[in-house]
Amino acid sequence: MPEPSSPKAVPPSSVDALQKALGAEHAAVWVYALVSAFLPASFNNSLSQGATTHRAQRDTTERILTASSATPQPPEAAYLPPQPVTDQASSLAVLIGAETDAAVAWRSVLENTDDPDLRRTAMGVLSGAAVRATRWRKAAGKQPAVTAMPGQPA
Amino acid sequence: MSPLSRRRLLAALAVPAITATVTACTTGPKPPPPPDPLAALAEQARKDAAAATVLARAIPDLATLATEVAQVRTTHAQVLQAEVDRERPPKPSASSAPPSAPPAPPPAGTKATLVEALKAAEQKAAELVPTLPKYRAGMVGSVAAACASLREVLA
Repeated sequence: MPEPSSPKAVPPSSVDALQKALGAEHAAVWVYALVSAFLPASFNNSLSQGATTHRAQRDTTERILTASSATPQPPEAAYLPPQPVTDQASSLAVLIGAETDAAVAWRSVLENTDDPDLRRTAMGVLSGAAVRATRWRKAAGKQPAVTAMPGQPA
Repeated sequence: MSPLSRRRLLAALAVPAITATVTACTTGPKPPPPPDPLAALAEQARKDAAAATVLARAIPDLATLATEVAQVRTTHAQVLQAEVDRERPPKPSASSAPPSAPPAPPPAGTKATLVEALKAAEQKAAELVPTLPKYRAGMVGSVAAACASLREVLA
């Protein structure tokens, strides 16, 4: 992500995609907070790294939207995971889901802007989400752990 | 009119004439279009897939991971080549050597060389992303993100 001090306005045509990306970041922040209770301490590093990254991305995205004269979409009051989160397996599943959703949203930013700086930002975020999704799939013992085209809508 | 100012005037007139000549020349034979930047990415993906396949056969312990790399990079080669061909359909009759002309099998590399190749591929794709048309930016962005993910798996 770029320096927090330098939010730059983006064209109005990029705002919708950025709002969706912000929505994915809000959801990811919520998911990372939710699962920490169900995962053993060995996951602490990966969890705090992911949580910190998503909070930073949320904040940066809000600043870009504000600089673009848009009102950043607030988080939902509550999120409904696709399946109840009760243990390690369901925690990993919801983490994989959050990173997959983030990858889709940020790839869509790539496809909805010609701004080179925003493209670079979105590229970095897309890669980060894909790598974390891979890490969580690996932890869950899922094969294959890598998707060939991360962020491509299913 | 002094001789000096006449010279200046002539010099001033000469510039447009030269410009016109240059313009005329460049509108003559059409230069070949620059190569599609995605063609190089597709070629790199084919090479990575071939190298990973060789590695999977050479080192049984790495077979599962290297095969995963080979599968992902084969998909990349197909997706990228399809986009290159869509934009500039290959001439069926022309002497366009098919890119799949049986290449010499790559030398058996190591896990480290494969990781390096994926790193290079990721960087090349990510560098292109800011410059591409929108519909290509998403595709190439996914390729870069997958290369980063493959390195995570091999780590």
